[in-house]
Amino acid sequence: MRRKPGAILPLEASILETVIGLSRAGVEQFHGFQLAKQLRSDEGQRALTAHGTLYKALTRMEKAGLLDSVWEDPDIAVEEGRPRRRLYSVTSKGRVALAEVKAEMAGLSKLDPGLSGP
Amino acid sequence: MTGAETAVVRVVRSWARFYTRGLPVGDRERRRLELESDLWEHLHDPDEQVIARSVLGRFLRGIPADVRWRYRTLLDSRGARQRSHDMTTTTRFQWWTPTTVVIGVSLIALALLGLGFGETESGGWIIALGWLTAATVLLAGVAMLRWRPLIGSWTVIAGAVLLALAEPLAAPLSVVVIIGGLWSGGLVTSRRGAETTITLAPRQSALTERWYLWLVAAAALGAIGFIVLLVWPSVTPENCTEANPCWQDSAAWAAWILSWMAALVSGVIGLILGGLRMLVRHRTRLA
Repeated sequence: MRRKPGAILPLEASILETVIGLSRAGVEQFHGFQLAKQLRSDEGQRALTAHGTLYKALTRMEKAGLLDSVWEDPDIAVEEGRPRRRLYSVTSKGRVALAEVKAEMAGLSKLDPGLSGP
Repeated sequence: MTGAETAVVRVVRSWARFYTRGLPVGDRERRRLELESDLWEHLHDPDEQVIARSVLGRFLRGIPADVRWRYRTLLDSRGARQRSHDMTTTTRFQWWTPTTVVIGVSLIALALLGLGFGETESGGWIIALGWLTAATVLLAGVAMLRWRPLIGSWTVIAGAVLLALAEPLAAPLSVVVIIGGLWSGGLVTSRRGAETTITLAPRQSALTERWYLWLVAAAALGAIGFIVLLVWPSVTPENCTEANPCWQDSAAWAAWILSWMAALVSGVIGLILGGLRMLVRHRTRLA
């Protein structure tokens, strides 16, 4: 089944929730592995999000304008002796999208108390 | 790094090289570099304990998403190229499509012929049913290629596997179709010069555009038929005995008939399409 244009998938909502949480904690930019760890901790999962699932979601979210990303300054990576990181940050559109998802879920949970949002 | 970690990292890198192969350079490099960074962070994370198992799990669970991402990226890059080029120059003929259609049609004809000639004893109807099923799946896959290339390709591959199971002697034909299906599904791509060439789903006009490929398909199928008979000489009817009642007998002859019928059908279709095309060109020139 094709997804509707502009629709947010549960994983994307979780990512937005997590990165907005990171942003509140003062972390404005994050890399893929950092996000996978944070997601595991926030969602109470046992395993880290799979490579394919994570990077596919991040690419899709960036294309949708929910996230922004840049390559890290190569000098920093060389100095720390590791590969360069792709650094993501949430956009204002991403914040609005998450707020809309939450509002929608709140509306649904009023109709059916069994439902709970991300 | 432990031995297990080294091995797992090698597997993940190889897989990344495989599924990003043939994609636009930007997408390919970004995915590979990002994965490289992720692996490094994972391996150097002090909180992680059984790293090799964790990396392996992430790799395995992500494979379906990797395949979907690759397909989507191929479609996007194809769309971009189609917008910037004339459609006729970017659409490439699917070399294997006529072969698949011919195999499908021949299988149906053979199955019906077999049933018509009373080959229903000694389990002949099971073989016929297998052929009919394989042919239906093959033709359904080809029909889907234009609208749903990925689903169509995998359906064709499934049909080819069914064909090999229903008639092991037709395995060479199945291999041809499976390679074609992988090609069409974007899982295998070819390079021409500096630019990556991605095979597109067939368009109806493309089937008639290069009609001579039908003849090539016919010749290839005929050759495969002969090779089958040469490789398995013991299945000729003369070698069948009462102690060894020849289920192989009918199978060998089926393979022989299949090859020749395929060749005949391919040739006739090729000539008809070629003739029609020449007629259309002639009329266009006159007009």
